[in-house]
Amino acid sequence: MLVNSNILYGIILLCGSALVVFASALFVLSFSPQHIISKCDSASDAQQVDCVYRIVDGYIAKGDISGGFKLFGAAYSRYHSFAGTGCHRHAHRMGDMVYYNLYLSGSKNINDIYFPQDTTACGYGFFHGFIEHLIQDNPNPLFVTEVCTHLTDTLSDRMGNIEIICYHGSGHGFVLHHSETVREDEWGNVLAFAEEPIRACESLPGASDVAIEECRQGVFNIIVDWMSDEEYGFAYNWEDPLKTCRALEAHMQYACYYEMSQKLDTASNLDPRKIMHIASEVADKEAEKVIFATGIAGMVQQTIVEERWKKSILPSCVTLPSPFDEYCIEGLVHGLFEHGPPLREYEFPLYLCSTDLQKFEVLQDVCYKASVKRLERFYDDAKVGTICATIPQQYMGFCKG
Amino acid sequence: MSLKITTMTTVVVVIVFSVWLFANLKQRTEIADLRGNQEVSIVLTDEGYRPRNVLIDVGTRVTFSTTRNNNHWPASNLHPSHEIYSEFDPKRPLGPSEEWTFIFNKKGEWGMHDHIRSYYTGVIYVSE
Repeated sequence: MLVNSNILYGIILLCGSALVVFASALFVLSFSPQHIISKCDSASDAQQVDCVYRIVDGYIAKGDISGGFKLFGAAYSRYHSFAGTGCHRHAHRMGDMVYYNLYLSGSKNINDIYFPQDTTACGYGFFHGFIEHLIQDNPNPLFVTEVCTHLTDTLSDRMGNIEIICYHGSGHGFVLHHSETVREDEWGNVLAFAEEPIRACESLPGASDVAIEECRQGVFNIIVDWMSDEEYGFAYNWEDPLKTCRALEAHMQYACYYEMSQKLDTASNLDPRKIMHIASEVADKEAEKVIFATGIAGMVQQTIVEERWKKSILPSCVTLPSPFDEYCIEGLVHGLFEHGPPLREYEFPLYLCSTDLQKFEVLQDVCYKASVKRLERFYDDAKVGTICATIPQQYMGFCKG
Repeated sequence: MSLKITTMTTVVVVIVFSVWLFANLKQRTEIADLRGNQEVSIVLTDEGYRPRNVLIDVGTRVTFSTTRNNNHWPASNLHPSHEIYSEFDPKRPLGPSEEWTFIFNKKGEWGMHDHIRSYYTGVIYVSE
């Protein structure tokens, strides 16, 4: 009898424990971002991205920005449809969601929103989306300065580029607001869309020259997107991409070149040499460098999945004449940071520096310098220090302190 | 003693699991069921699309309008390409007093947004 009851106890104990373990595992697993996102597995490419947005929106609506970004990161690593179709653009949507759910439907006070580190992901796309709507709905230069000053004061110690990102997003907002007042017979006229927002940028109280230039770039960023998407009567000039910019007044030209060159990946059919020829036509050497490096960075967006850039960009980079080989590596590093996996952006660039460029001493130097320079854009001091500790001794001098 | 602990733990786990399951099931999106209507109206207000999520039959004519003083541009996701249902796109901004009607002839879940203020979103569920 004693033996029987011991066996019975044993069986109950075993079954109970198994049930507890099973239920606990199921419970924990159900909260993992990969599991939550897996609901989108069966959808096709664009529907898959939309499916992710909808799940993320549910988290953002509950005020869980960090949770939303964990899902964003999971989607990036799980779906090529997500990582390879414009991670920056997807991060914009995160900013849209937070603006609507937490700002517009909340206290309308930016102080009430906590921005986790993940919001720097994919070239700060989140802040571009959030700020562009904030300023589209409140296109007041004084308000812009207040917002950007606040974000700089509260976030710059862990998000090194938040100030310029804020002014860039404000440029988006100014032109989006202004676009609603442009008459249809003016569509396709760059100045009709750009002049007033540029004036707003140039009247930002207390803004530095760099901040004003970022704002101008924000204005042209939107206009170039309209060209590429053929909206508001615009069309991107694929034969002579920089023609529009050459015709502009000097104070607008650099911003125009910079933004126009973001589409050179398509205009060049992913050929760095073609981008080099387009950039070489500009007399200003600084502009030439920016156009070329930005064009290369843009190419990374289309080739980051499965590291396709290693075959499509890198072999050309290392064979280009000097100084374009160096510009090319800088652009490649920049693109890998801008389109890389959230919070792990540094991994591809540092691997590029240490392994792929092992035989190219000068380019390896350029690579480490460009990589280290970008660490502060995405990470706080502690993480920068940790990453810096992993790079070879001879390049540690690029790290701060 | 072990039996008591196991039984109590099991009960607690089962209760927690059930509560969690119930909460998750309750988190379903609110959808306005407008099946049976041949014509449906969706209005963009300051608070967003009203209704925001609708269930309609294939072939339903949906008219989009706004009570805001701004232009509006209803279109299919994704933003800004509108590629999920590319025909669901007026291809230009609509004035504040302008309406636009689209007949949903494809079954599916069609995420949508206002192309001018892309933070306004909704979903059109089209059933047969």
